[in-house]
Amino acid sequence: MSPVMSTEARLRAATRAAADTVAPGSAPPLRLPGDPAAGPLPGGGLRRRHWLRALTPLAAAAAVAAVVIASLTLTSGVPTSSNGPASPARSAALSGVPPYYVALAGQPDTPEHAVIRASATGAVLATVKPPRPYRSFTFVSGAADDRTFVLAAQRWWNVTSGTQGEDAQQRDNTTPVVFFRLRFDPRTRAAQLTRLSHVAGSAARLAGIGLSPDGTRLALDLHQAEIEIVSLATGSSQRWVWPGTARSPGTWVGNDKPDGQPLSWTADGRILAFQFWTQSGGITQVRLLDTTSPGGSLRPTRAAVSFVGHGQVKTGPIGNSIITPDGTKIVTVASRTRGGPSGVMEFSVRTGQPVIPPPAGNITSLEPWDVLWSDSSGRTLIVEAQSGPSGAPLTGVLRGGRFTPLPGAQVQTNNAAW
Amino acid sequence: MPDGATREDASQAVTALYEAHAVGLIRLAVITLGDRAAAEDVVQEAFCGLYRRWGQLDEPGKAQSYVRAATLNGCRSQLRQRIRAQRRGGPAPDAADAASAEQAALLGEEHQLVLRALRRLPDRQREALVLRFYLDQTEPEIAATMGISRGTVKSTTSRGLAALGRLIQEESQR
Repeated sequence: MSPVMSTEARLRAATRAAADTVAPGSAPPLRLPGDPAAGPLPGGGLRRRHWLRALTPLAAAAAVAAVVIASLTLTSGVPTSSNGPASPARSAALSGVPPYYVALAGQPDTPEHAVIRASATGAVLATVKPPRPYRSFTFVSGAADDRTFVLAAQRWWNVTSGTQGEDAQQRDNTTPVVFFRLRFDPRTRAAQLTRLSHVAGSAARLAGIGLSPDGTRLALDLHQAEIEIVSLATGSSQRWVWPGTARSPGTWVGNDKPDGQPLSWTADGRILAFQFWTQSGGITQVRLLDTTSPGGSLRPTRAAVSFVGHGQVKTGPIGNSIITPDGTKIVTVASRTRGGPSGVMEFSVRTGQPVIPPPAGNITSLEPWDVLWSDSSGRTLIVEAQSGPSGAPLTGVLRGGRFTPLPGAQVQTNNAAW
Repeated sequence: MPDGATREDASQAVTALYEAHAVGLIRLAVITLGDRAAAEDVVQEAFCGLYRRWGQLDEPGKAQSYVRAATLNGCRSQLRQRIRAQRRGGPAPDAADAASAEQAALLGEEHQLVLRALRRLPDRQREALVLRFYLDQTEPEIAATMGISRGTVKSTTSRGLAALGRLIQEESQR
């Protein structure tokens, strides 16, 4: 290797060399399903579609505003042995986050179901599948009571260029979206799924949701250009639009879809934080919407933090960002220099400037990707990160400079709500 | 799955598409997985998926995009399975460990080192880099393939390249 070769050049050379090991005309014959001469398919044949069987009893339930009890899988909730012994630090970290969370799960190319897990043990307490004809939960958001969640569901995905193979929420951009309230009773471990008929099905591209802390209002990120807030009790709604941005490729409202939650609320349910990005100048901002203001333009919203790119770098590109429930800080993953290592950073909502970061603790070997949850003041966070030595994705609690993995969290649990 | 005449049409169309693009997609999967047999399985499954959903394809002209994205998705699943296996203490924790001896023998140490580092990247960074620097796709093309905005392509590629550089250093010191 030449010592002056750039990473890009080395990557190009290596990928070409690997590709050249596959000679032209060396592909094996195609074996399509249903061809008796074809023999077994790779991986033992077609994947079993468990969800088809699981959804059958629920066919009629979703068409009306009915309460349905989704098919549940209850487990013992006993910690698995792989969780390891509970150290005081670990116990303290895990006790500082909500005791239950909902994560969307499933293979990338099969419909997603929702799993309710215990934060401290990782135990699966219930599994909820979308009632027919809906086949995929695409977004989830939680209220502050730790037992009320809203799930977006869609029927199927439309096979269009570039969408197949993406996560479920990336695929289905044309069929109506419906919403369900999920209430979890930790005492009985019953999960009750209720269709939210007041929230109209939308053919618009849903880019994310955010449930208000009291669970009464749902914020929708539409077309990555609009924010709509709907009352779940009455269906009344207000909408704010960034002028001239609808469906424009040069701007967006919301986070880097589908990472994390695109919208976050303060605890009083008044302020909604959202990201705004514009290609012009490469500026990303975290802006604050006063949801008591009349609907209209997003332009008057206050920019709490601005990240500038393209030469005037103060901090590098950011991923997900959330406002702390007390409304004092914006927590995000950013790098202090363009292309530099990223870390969790907190910014003062009042000044827009970084707050002094916590001590490094045991997190220096981690590359954080997204901040998924914050306690009231940002002292305890749930983040998704990649571990340095093994490269494995982890979801865990970041508190006092220490990272404690959440037991049982699935790889890349970024579509989850606490 | 298609039936009757539709099935025959689908079979012919998908087979023709396979003959035209299978090698290119297997190459793409080999880069990502480092394992020829697994790469062939992923591509087979991608075309089987296209066949099963042929009737739902709104524009047959987009079939090539479909199988390319499905191949990337299949590779992602394979790599995640390896990570899950590793976390359970099972075998094949690293893509390079799963690579066939023949495959490894065909590549020099420098290329193997870079590919090991590539396979350790997060899904989106790895896919963006492969699309950009192997397939030479433009930012809008990558955005369409991955279903993300152009701005995200730019930041993902930038971050991915920086992370790859760090991982290459790590790999070279092992």
